[in-house]
Amino acid sequence: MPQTNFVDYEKFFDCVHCGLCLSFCPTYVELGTEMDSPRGRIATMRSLHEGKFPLDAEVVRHLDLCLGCRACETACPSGVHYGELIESARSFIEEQYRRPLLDRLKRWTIDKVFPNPLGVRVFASMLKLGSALGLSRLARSDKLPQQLRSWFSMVPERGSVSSATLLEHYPAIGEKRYTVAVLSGCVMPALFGATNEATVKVLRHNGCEVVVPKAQGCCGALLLHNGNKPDGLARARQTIDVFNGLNVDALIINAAGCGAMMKEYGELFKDDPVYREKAQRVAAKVKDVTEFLGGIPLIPPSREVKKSVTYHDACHLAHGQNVRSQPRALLRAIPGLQIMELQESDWCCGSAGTYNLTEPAMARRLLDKKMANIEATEAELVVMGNPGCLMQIRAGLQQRGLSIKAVHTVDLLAEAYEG
Amino acid sequence: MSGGENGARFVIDGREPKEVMFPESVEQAAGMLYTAAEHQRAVSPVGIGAFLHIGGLPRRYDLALCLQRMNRVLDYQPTDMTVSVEAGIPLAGLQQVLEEQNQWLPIDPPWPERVTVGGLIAMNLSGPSRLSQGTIRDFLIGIKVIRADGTVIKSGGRVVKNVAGYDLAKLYCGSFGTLGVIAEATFKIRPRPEAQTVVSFLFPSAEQAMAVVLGVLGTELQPTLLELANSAVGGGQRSDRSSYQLFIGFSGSAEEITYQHGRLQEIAGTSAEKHPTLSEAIRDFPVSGEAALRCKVNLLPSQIAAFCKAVEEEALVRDLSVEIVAHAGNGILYCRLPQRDNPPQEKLLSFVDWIRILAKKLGGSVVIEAIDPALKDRVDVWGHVGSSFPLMKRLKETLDPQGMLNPGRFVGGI
Amino acid sequence: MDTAFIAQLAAIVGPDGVVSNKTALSVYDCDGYTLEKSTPDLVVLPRSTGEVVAVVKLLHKEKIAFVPRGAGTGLSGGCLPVEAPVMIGTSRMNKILHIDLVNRYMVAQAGVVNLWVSNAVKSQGFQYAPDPSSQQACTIGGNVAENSGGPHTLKYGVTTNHVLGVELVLPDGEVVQLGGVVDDVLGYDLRGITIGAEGTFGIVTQATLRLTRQPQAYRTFLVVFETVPQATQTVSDVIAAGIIPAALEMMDNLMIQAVEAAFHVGFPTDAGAVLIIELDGLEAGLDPQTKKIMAICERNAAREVRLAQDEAERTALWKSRKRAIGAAGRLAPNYCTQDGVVPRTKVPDILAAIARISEKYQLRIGNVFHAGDGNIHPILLFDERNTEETERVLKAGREILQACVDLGGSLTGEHGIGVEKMGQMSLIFTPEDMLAMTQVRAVFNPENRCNPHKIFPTPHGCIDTRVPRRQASL
Repeated sequence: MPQTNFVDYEKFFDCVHCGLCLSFCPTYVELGTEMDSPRGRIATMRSLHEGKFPLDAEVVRHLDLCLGCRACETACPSGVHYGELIESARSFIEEQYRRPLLDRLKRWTIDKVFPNPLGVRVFASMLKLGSALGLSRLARSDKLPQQLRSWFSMVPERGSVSSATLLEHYPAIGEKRYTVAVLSGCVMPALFGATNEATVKVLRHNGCEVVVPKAQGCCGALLLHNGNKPDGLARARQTIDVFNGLNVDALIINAAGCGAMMKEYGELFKDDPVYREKAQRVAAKVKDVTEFLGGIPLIPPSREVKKSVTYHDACHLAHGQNVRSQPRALLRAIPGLQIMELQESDWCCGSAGTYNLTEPAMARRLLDKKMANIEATEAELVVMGNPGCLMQIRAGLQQRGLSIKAVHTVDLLAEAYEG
Repeated sequence: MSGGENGARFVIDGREPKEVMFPESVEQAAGMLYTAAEHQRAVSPVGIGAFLHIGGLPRRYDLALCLQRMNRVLDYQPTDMTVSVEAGIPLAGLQQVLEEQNQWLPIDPPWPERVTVGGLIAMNLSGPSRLSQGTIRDFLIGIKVIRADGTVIKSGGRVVKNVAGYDLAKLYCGSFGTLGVIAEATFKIRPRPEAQTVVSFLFPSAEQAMAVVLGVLGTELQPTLLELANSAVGGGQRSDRSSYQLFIGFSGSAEEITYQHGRLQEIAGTSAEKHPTLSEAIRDFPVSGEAALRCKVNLLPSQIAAFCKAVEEEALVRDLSVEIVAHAGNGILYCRLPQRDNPPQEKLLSFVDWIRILAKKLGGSVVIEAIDPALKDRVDVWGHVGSSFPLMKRLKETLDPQGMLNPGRFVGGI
Repeated sequence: MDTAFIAQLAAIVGPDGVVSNKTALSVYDCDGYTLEKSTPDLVVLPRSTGEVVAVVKLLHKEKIAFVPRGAGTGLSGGCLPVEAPVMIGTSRMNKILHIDLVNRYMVAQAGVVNLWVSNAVKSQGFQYAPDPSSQQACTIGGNVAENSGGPHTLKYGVTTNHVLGVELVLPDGEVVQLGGVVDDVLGYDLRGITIGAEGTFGIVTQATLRLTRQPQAYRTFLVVFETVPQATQTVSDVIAAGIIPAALEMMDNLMIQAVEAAFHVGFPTDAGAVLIIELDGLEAGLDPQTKKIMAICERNAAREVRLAQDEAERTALWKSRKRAIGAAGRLAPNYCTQDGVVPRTKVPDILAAIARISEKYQLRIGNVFHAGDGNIHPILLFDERNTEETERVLKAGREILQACVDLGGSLTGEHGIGVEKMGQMSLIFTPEDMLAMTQVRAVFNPENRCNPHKIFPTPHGCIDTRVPRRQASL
């Protein structure tokens, strides 16, 4: 009998099988299958843990299909730590289960490219090249298989990619009120450099002295979401080491997925005597940029932005960190902005980290739904707080030939601050 | 306990029962049914007998089982807001008991003095207040019934919320005495409103009146009743030109009523006449008056105006006068051709056909509630039931296998 | 199940509409009632009435029994497959088909989630009144089967008062329309008997729902008491004063703790009990009623009366109340909820009885319930891995129901009999009553192949020993 204990068994008993999570789960609502619901997955994971059935393709299929959006945690009255359960199960799968060759290749690529700034830079260059060649059109081609199209769909339209490397230190603009550190991240500098710069700008306008440690890299979130625990933990340790020594008021994150993971560092290293306390210390400082700005007396932006916008809740902000009202409040602080309500705003867009690459069919269905809702608002801009969502939603807008633009919350905020 | 002398009181469509019995308890009534079943006698449960003209021609009519001596209030718990009664108690009598505690059973059918609780349930009678309160099925929480073979069964109970077992009580609401004899009933009841008022408006057309009805229903207002009457109602005493009077009732505290009157004025755009209560002429319209033809039409509220317009125009063409009163918010409408005009039979029948086609076109149905019994075998008084009729037939055969309860009087000849 | 048969079903609903893998099927082994488990041999997920008809006709031809299932949030095991190899799920039938606000109704497929109905018409000022606590997940089809209630049924009534018509696929595959959109339909009220039949008449594929106007205004109070009797007396006094609040809910100390741990809405964890009282209606009428309620609370020594200040506070209060039972999961690994009803003035008596039973069986029992309706929800906490404790839970549950019946009440107010309470049916019904009911079932379901072994005990005592397929998880 192989060892199947992959998570603290008691955690399964948090689930009382009430089913209130079902209608919050995008895959359940799409497919209608209990196996693809949070309650069903918990039951499956529990049986797996108990050794009741083997780790076979069927089990892996249903657990793979989970977006990890954690909308179920928002719905759950009983306090199930679903994210922890699914991530433990995923690393168990990666350890124990041999996937078909193509699958392995795909996952290997993702594992190698994304958490690695160099990898991302290479990837970004490819994307930019592709963009310049107009390859984004290929994503709309009926002649290519769905699998390939999903990769091409990430190729941005000309001009929407920016890379920028931040300096190590920025003084506050005006009176200094706080000192904050910023996670520049792995994907962000290469693909969303402008958003990183915007983050710094908005923070500085709010009296923040900003430090951006040079040695930092990937926080480990992408790897951990995909079940690559060894590499993920290594990245996380590195990140903890980088930020642990800093004397700052907050550690600012502008990627929801990273923020959600980093807030759980304490839980992640609770059995690691060396990192436990450091991890807790770092985790306690972690704040999403909108959460931080929403929690301080804001120095309101003065420049008018005459646009109509709608706000999409990134899963790892809304469900993962319960940050919902702050970004909306920040948008309301921008003069001239007209805000429209987005139906099902906290419904996953299908990006879910690298889910759109591993599960393109489901990602597509969710994107379609999101697009229809965005279009219905008739807004000019759709605003959100996560790079994964930005790539996914931009790809969707592009493919539909819509003129709506997708931007990060801080991009818009930065525009509203003078200078 | 028995008596044949009362036969004349319980004539149905010209047919007298061979015998009338007056049980004084459930046990007695059960015994009578048991015996009747043994002797294969057709039984019609009756109360006061005022509504017997409604329904199909009886195929057989041996025994009228009259429950008016079973008229006790069995258990009244004002603080629980529930009451259990024997089925023979007149509705007005029950209301009187409840009124002492400032409560009521919020059903206001025509002739409350002349209908028993059992009859109210069996015929699913209702009145203007159904708009805000619902019908008897919404208040009946428990029932005791005697089956055709004399077996006594019950469903529900004395609690206001109860899903144990099937909701058999619903089956007996509107079952027309064809599935069993209702012996006892338990209702949830309500506090009487602090105050109530009725106001009325006059409109030149049904369309304009219905625009106000639908408008009011789309607002926060909570009218207790919305009754619409055409100008022929009340003997045409009002202006001779065609017009519609709309009655709107409100209840609650003085503040609530005042607020609603104000809002209503805005919506209707014309001033209202105030009445202390809805007149009995309107409330009792569905059963009162000598009618050559009276039918109940079920429609969607949005179709009422079109229906009224078409009926009035057609009546003019056919040289008939037609009186209309509608529970306008519910889409239920009563049409009456007065007896005084003495329309010839063929004209009546042709009008019935015409009105049925019209109702069907508008997605509704027509029940003929009063017509010369001699014509009943030429019109299906209930009309066509639809895809669920085979189930209804099976239900009847299951609960009354010998077909001894009110044979012939319900839908499809059940 | 043989592969040819599976292929036939797949031809109807598509290959992804049939679940036949053993591990996949295992997640269908119970609903919200987890004390008993049984896995179906096959799950079929049709998308339309037409597909349901084709599936049911095939099953009818093959003489295979089946069980309908909505979201599986039921609390009495209503969709547990007992000698019913095939489960037909409505989770893909989740479309709203028609909305008519002028005539105030909606037609929805059976798998539409209860809350979606109200959400679809919210912006136009309408709502669907029945609001079971599981409304964020439970389906209209399941609501029809169970005749679901909810906190606001006190004023507005339960599912049967708001469903105008149902489309039912009979166990032989015939489709019938029961009731309709117009208020009074001809013939027997077959819709009325089908609502609450717990899925034993056939599969409800769509329903016509009555929509009502949202109230103009609300007053929602959280009233804090030192003791349970103070709270229950307040409930009785409110009703006796002739006020019918929209909702009148109670929670005892244990549940307050669970809810506060879960949702942090600021419930005082040292309180003996809290009431949630909601008034709704015209703004013009609410203040006088509020005054009356305040006076009654004061008279019963309420420690504090908090009025929700805005819609957000009101929503938070209701969210926590509606998810309270689930929050009990924080108190123990497992719980079992009872659903007895007593006449509303007997609420103090039944709570006293529950306290005695809790003592007797050494069990922690929390209470969160619809006090205004007398519909109790004692929540018995346990750990299913402790079989001896589980046994005590079952005994205590039965004793609570007996106490309800002794006080003139009933076994279930909104959860249904299911498999859970079949054994207690004889406490309130005679063999003649149950015979009539099973005869009515036979009108719809003559061969008893739709959801068999539910509601009615089989003649020879408890079903436990009679049904080999049922494996309790004890």
